[in-house]
Amino acid sequence: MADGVNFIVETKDPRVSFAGAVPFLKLMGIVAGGWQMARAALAAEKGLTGGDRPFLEAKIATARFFGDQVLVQAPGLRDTVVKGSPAVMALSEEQFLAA
Amino acid sequence: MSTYRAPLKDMKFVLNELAGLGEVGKLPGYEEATPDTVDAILEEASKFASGVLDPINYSGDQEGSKWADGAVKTPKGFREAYKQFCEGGWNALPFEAEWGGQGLPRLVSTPVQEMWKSSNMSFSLCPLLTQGAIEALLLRGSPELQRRYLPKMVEGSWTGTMNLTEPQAGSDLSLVRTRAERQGDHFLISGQKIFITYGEHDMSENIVHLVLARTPEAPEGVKGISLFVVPKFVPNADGTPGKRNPAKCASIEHKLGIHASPTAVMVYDKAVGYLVGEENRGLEYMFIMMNAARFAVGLEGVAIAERAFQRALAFAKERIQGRDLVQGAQGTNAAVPIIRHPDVRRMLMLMKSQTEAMRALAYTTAAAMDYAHKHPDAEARKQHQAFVDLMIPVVKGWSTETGIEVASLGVQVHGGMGFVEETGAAQ
Ligand SMILES: Cc1cc2nc3c(=O)[nH]c(=O)nc-3n(C[C@H](O)[C@H](O)[C@H](O)COP(=O)(O)OP(=O)(O)OC[C@H]3O[C@@H](n4cnc5c(N)ncnc54)[C@H](O)[C@@H]3O)c2cc1C
Repeated sequence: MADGVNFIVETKDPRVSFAGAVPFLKLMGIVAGGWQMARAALAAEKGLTGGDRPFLEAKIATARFFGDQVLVQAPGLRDTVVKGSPAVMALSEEQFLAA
Repeated sequence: MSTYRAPLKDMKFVLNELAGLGEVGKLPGYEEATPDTVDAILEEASKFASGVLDPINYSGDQEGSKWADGAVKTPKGFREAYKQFCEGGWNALPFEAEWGGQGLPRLVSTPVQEMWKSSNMSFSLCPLLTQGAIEALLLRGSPELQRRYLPKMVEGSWTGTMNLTEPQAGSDLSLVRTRAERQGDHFLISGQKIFITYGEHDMSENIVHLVLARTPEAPEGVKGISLFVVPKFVPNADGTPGKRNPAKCASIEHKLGIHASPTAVMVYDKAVGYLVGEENRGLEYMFIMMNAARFAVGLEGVAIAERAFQRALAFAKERIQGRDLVQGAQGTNAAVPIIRHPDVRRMLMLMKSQTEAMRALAYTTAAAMDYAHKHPDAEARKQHQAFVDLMIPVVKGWSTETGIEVASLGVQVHGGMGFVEETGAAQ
């Protein structure tokens, strides 16, 4: 996420940083969501003794799944923002009509 | 079709373990939000959502709201449900006790509102827009406007709308053209607004439109827009709805979804309006209030994802198709529920885990809103507000986009039936 923030702050051409805006928002969402699921797993682990075991164990496994299947998208999104943004404005408006 | 059940276990886990309900309940003014009271509120809300709103969700979408001759008829059951909603005090729940509300923290109204949105999105938009209008009046309405409108709106007998959009002014509100001409103590508003949610309907005795417009002297662009209250019926001195204002509904849109929620084209022809706050600062007020609206829309993403997951899960447990990978290889030939198949399981887990992550982020942000509002220490209020300002676009943008992805996975879990209206997955 720091790479994405630096890219947006440092890029001179506003069209390039705006091109990465939505992928960056998604990156932010996934990382913030992962942060919350990690907190949830820790809280669930702490509550296991004496708590609602089936629910809390499912919470820990669900947090693990989020990390392994969703949070892993973060590096790809970072690359989309940092390396992929210049490609967005590569065509001229006329080139869209050419097909 | 599956019935909505509020995910009370997860809601309570997030409230207590992640969002710190115990601490929020200690803030001055929120002492009533004790764990027992909050449990009771959530239980009652879940009964209302499952018992009253859910049963008219599918039928309401099929029937849709109907326009005829300037009036809008909501689908069967909506009027009665709205009456019950107000009588039960649900409309008033999020507001300050001073105006007839229950003065509960946002952390408590948030799961309650998630239930309304999950069980019946179209219905939930009416109180949502009223809430937006109430917040604008609380923020900058004169004491006279507040006294005249707030008690009725908090109670729900008058609903509210937000009139920003015009045909040439959508994302870019600097292009708003609706005019406001001064006449004594009020203004006369003229122009056309489009996409106005619950701009006209038959569930309340009056509708209070909050309208962005320009006075003749106003500068061009965003710095020349003012905010006005334009009631459907101009209240009499005794507070009863009086003369019909020329604020008319010209038609309603035929939409992709939320068919029960009327989306109105409104035509104002010298309608009586009252200025909110100062001239030319309307957009600024609107944007302060928009923060709450953005949060509420993000919560719609959470709610739709939850609903889609519940339907997909129920279907996956019932639908028998294909062999178990392990037992099948050992010669057992019986077909199994599709929840047994790894790819279906992957879709259910994507739905479940993302919904829970979005809920946790939204409720944690709601708690920060409560701290930013009521924390006794000014520095702490500032810090919480900074967190809120950072997270609101994320709650809004990420949860709505992910809500669509989760709903789409829900359609996929249903196979061909996902494409058929009857199952509710498409809705
Ligand atoms: C169901 C429904 C209910 C609604 N309810 C209300 C209501 O109650 N009150 C009300 O006032 N309005 C309401 N609206 C209107 C809504 O606020 C507008 O649709 C919205 O502001 C977008 O405006 P637009 O439709 O003119 O799209 P446009 O502004 O024309 O946008 C078209 C596309 O261009 C993109 N775009 C535009 N400008 C930029 C930019 N500067 N940078 C990058 N991308 C850009 C947009 O993201 C979008 O993809 C409602 C709309 C719907 C569909």
